[in-house]
Amino acid sequence: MKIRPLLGAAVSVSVLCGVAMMMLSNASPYVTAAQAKTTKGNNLHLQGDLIKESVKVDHQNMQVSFTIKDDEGQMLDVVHKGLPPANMGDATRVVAVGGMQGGTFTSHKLITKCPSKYESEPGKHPESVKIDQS
Amino acid sequence: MNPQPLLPIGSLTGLGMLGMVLIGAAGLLSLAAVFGSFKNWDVKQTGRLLIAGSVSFFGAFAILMTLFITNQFQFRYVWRHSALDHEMSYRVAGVWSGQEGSFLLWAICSAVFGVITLRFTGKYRRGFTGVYAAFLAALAGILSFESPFFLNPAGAPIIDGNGMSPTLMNYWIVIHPPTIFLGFGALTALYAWAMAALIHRDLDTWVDQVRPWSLVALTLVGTGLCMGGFWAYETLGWGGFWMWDPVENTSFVPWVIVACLVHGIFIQKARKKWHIANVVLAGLPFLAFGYGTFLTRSGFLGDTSVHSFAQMDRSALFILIALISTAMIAFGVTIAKAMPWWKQNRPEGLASSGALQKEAFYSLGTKLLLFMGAVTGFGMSVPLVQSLMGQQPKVVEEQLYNTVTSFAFIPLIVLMAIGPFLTWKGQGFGVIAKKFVNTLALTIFAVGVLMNWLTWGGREVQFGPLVIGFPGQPADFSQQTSMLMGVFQVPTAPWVLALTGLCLFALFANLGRMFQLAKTSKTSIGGMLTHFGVIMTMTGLIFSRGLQQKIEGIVHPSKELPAFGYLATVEGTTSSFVDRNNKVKVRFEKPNGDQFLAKSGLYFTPGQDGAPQEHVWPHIQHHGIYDIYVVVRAFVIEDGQPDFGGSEPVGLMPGQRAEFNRYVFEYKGLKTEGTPGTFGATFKTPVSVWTPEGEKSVTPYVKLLGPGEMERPIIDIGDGLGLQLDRIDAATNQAFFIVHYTTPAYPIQIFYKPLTGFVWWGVGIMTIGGFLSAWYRRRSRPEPPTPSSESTTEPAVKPEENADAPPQPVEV
Repeated sequence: MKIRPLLGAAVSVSVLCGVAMMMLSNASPYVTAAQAKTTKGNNLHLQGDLIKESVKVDHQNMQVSFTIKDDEGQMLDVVHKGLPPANMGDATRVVAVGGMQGGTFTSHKLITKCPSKYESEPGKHPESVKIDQS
Repeated sequence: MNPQPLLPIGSLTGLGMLGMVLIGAAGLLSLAAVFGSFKNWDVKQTGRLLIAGSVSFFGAFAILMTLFITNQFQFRYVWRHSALDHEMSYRVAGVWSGQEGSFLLWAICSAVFGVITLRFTGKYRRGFTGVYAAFLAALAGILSFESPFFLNPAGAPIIDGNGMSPTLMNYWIVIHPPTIFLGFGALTALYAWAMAALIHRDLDTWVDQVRPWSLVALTLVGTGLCMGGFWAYETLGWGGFWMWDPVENTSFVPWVIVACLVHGIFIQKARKKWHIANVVLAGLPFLAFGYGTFLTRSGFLGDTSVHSFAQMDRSALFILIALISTAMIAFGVTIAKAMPWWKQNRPEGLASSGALQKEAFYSLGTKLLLFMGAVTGFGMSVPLVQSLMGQQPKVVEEQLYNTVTSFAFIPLIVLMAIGPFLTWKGQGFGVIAKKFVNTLALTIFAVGVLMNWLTWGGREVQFGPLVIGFPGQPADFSQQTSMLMGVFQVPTAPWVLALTGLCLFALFANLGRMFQLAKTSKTSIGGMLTHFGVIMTMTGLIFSRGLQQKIEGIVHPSKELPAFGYLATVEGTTSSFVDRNNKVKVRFEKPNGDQFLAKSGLYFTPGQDGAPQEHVWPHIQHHGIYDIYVVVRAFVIEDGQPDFGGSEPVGLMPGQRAEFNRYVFEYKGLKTEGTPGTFGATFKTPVSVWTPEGEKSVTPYVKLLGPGEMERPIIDIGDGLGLQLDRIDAATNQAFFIVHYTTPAYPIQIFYKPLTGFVWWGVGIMTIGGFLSAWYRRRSRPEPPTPSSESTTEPAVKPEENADAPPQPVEV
């Protein structure tokens, strides 16, 4: 008689743990430039300082290229397929989501972080902007 | 003329100080109410203290609003989030556009519900008052450290405010935060009620009292969530309607738990079960929201969130953590302490039989919803979990959320489809199936219509003597959708159609049942209506997201861009590029004369390093069943000079032709003036140009001016185009030309989003349905008990009141 609720609890706990493990292992990692070169995948989050002078917008081919300097000081060239995020001019740090293709990091999503000239709105909406290329 | 402050800056400093005092008073009054509840003072007195504290909060809020409206920039918070040129609506919205103000908004929204619901709490009033007042006191504490009434440091006189972040400047900031925070405020009431039910040892009476308020909370949070979705949809780069961002999840998790509570109460009323479960379901949403607030504001998400959050003041953050952990621990301890009593006094639950009856469906639905809430809550905690384990940060991507939650979502739609036809008594499959014949037939018909639309969109098709014009655009049948995180691919169109079919089935089932119920009681259809709205919204989201199409290109007066059956041509701007209301006008015209004018917002503000920063607002053309979403982006600006772009250098031999946009060029041959190699020598390259207006001749040239200095003018050829001679290849005599855009050439993105109308309509129906349900379950207010009559031992089980009996007869 008492076995059913216990069994139910055990099943739901194990399901939730399984899903939690699955989510942890499938979550997309943040990588440095060195790790990006050795890690496979197309959902790596490469994060670093944006080298302002390197930003080149190519409207004909609808892409942006720039260089990221990661927290270890390593540089990596990034090509983003798509238009730059609307606040790229103000961004100091960027996260490029994608993977290595040859010698450059090809990103399909760009997340920019802006220094807080405007204090961001907590619990509401971002200063940083994500361009989703899907 | 520059705008002037409504009242001289500095004139209302005293009023702001009063605001600070009022927050302190709110804290002290609330603390007194907590103390009084502990000491078992007269509940009317402690209630009055709670109301007085709430009124102090209202006063502080009104004062902050006044400071914003009258431009009192001597206050740091007002200075940061407002400016003289802001319209009145943005001045008002400035109040909650920052951290301090949004905490104050949370405080007053909670206080509103505290004041209203206190009257309905009956025998629970003492515990309810105590818990509620403790929360308000904590918020007053946070607001004392994160005060919106701090002054700017003395220094140069302040003339103007810094201004609200331009990305927030949208009408949604005026209505979305108040709506969703009212919902969050209602969660406080649910938590306090659940705690009071445990403290006063009666787990039956409270569900009747809390029922309408749980529906109000559900509706407000749900509507607020969707408003946030609309805002994100209308803002470029916020990932569309929904993207599982931590901020969205912070409201989504409480919402699904309140939905569980609403259904759990049904089971408790009909089956005398789920007493403890409902207490937990009422307390959890508040705790989940508190946890989400902590997560999004503590900085733990750090770089892994798309949102960048202002760091909280350390003391305020400490109070927030203390508040949330105290609320969690107190809730857990109170439940644990009540358990021995409950084991003794637990009523015998009524048994149920069969799988096809209401209890089984409510129960399964609740579990699926909780599953969704749990995985979402875990997903948003992944960066925290990783950093606590000292590992490299990771984030859960949108696709992973979609994959995991779909396992619960699809069965939930099935439950919502079959649910309306069930009773509390188990029925055989045959009986149920019979009720679905009509629904199934309607679904098949509707899917057939959609299929035709997807195939024939934008065309006229003849069926016998009948010619039918299909709106929109045919689907792209080559598209594939990756399933289970890329394990396999399925063709998108059939997959989306299958999901849509399932949703339509649920829609028709609810619609049918609504008509049946409306015959007996008009107000009882709230539940069906809410389900109908939710499913309709989901249908719109699935369809528009799955079958969206996109075209990218450049618009310029010299060319037309074909897009979804239209030809797009740019028609200039409505104002200058420094005007916040500037729009770029793009005309969309079909061969048959159908047309619309898209006005996409584009303006620049000076950025951090002085370089102009682009601000873009899309134009959304609603077409009944589909949207055309137009985004006009900025041209490149380098060193303050706009570069509109143009062609690559094109090499032409004399007599050769080239084409750019609608222009044809013919290179006539080289003419040299002066001695080549010496300064002053000029190389002229006459070119014939065929424009839509006719033929003309121009002569671009290169003139050597000095060492490394050349004159290479851009010769205007009309329609915003200019021709430039780039260089001449001495060996082959080939001349290289560049065609420049001399007027703005805008990169443009045009999206076709089918069935988006379902999202808007669905949300509206859901909101109406929710409030209708709350009205249907409303109760008259019970008398509060006197301290002596209050018993803490025996749960008094009130007889079921028949005034608003549930629509389903409870079988005994």
